[in-house]
Amino acid sequence: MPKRFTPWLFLAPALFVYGLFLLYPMMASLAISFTNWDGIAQHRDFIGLANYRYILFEDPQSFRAVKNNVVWTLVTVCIPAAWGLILASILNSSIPNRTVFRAIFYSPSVLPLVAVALIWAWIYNPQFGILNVTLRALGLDSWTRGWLSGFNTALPATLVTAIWQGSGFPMLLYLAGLQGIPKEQYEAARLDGAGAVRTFFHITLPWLRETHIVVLSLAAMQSLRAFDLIYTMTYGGPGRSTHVLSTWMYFNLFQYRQAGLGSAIAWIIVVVSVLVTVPYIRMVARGRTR
Amino acid sequence: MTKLLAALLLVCLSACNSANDGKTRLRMLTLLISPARDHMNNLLRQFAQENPGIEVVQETAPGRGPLLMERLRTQMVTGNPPDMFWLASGEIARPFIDAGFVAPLDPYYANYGWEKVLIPWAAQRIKYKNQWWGVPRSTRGMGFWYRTDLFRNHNLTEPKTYAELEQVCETLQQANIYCLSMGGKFGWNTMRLVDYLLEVSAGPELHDRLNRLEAPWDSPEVVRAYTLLKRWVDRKWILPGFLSLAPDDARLPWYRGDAAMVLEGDWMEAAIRTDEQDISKFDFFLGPTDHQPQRFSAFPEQIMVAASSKKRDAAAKFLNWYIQPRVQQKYFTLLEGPTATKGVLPEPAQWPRLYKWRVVLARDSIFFPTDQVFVNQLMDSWFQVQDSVVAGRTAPEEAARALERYATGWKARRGRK
Repeated sequence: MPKRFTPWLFLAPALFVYGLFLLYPMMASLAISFTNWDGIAQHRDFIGLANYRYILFEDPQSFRAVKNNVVWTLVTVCIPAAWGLILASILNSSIPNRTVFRAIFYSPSVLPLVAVALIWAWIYNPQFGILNVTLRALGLDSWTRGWLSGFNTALPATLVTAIWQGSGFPMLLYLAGLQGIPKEQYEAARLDGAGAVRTFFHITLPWLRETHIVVLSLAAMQSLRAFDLIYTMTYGGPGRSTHVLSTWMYFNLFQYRQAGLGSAIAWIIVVVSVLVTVPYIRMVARGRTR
Repeated sequence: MTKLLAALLLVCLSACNSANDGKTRLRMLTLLISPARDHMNNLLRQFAQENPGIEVVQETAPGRGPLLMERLRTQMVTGNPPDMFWLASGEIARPFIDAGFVAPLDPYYANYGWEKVLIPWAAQRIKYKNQWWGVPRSTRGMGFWYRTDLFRNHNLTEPKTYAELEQVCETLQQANIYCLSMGGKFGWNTMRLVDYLLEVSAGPELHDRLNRLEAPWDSPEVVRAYTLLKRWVDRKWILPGFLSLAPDDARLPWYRGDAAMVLEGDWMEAAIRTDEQDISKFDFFLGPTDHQPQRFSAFPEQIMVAASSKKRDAAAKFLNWYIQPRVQQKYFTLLEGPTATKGVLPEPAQWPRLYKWRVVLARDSIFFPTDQVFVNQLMDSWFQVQDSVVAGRTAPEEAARALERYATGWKARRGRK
């Protein structure tokens, strides 16, 4: 066998598995997205871009899911990143027991999302949840409510959970980034008379530029895949007020038996995710070529 | 490609599993979990002893119905369905029938005389396009389960009219007890109350026409049903914030005595025992409708046979054995209490509430829950409207108009298909 085939020979098993379990299902779902298949029937009709047209221009629920996705993305990208940076800055200084605090703040990130969702669903329980119980104990009865049952509070309540769960990982990345900043930079700034705020904005933040891109790109990708928390905590409700694209895709695919429409939503998510991922991939590629 | 892979897998599995003993082996998909799954295996062993040429192997998709549906759908589409499978009735089963995956059983009904054995409404209600596509394995009914101790403490009795039911709720509310605990997270628990209120306001004939989409959903009777729903919420007869609760979690306030009732089914006696509660503290009544006949929400569940099965005769033989009174009498309480066979009753001293339910379920005065009448997509639109009414965002009149819009849109889409 010619020597140039040897690498392909070693790659073949992995390529076979990759093709069979990733590429083939992906291409199959792309094909399904151009049909009106219900996921069960033995026939399907090709309907071109009709599913995409319906999602993008006609379906009010898809609009609401996109709107929720935008809110979800903005909040879960910005707040955990900012909070993670604040925590990292504090925990990077020489405070006592900082290792313990690092573990405490990071620990929600390693919990399974379904477990996190169940814990917070109980925290929000209108009767027995610790949030309402605490408010009642403080005499703030009028503040108590069904946090996950209100049309205006369900999504924010779920977002609080996402922030709690999602802040640990950015904190870890920022900690790594902070530890990579040369100490001489801070010493020079101090000698030049720069205060803490000025040092933060003119040294810390610029030095963390690549970490920002990693944190924000990963958070954006994660936010587009938001599913577990919403499905477990609200099931898209009340009404359909907390659906995001991924839960709406699931409902169409598996509940409404609209495999074509659900697959089209999946591909819209894929396209948006790829667009969001581009800066991250470019940065990683640039780093490798340096 | 998918079918090729499935076929290869099937050949492999068959080669691995088949013992060349001349037996006909059937696969049956159930959704039982232990210990009921183990009792079903005992039942299957007894069948194998009495019918040496046939063996039925249980496969399980434990948990809720949707898991079974997903597994079944995958097996169907990939060409590897079980010979028999458990499924709900109505709209839930219809896509499988329409797709040609289910075998009609009319010849077996005629040969074995199954109609004589089965509770009549159960056999009739699983018919679709005038054909039998399954054998009912259970009949399920729903009503108001209540705390007998709370009723006794407040000098309350089971209401005989809707006005009396409201009075019960009002009395409990004044005693700081919620009348009803519900879990509205998935929509269907709230739907049970809406279904009941619709039966009260519309009566049997109109209710059935509404469910068949033959009557307009913006009619005054529908408006009244949603006005009543709003009244239940506004008067704080229902636990606040219930829209976010899972139905199982809604039992907790009931067990604690914070709420007096839940709207649940005949399965509750087993659930109450599993939850280690004292069954003497719990009883049920059917929601008074002020109409004759006094109907209640009920539905059958069925066992279907795959159209692709080459062993349909053996499957029918098993089904015939399974629904016989002697088999059902021995096993039905062990299999979570359901049966669709006439005259099968539990020991009243051992299962007092289930006994009462079985007597009730023999009556032919039922209406289907809406989620077994409508397809999921349409049903979710209903859930959206009911949630919106509960949250006070939509007035009953607007709710009724929205339902009619959804119904009209659905009919138009269905007509185009």
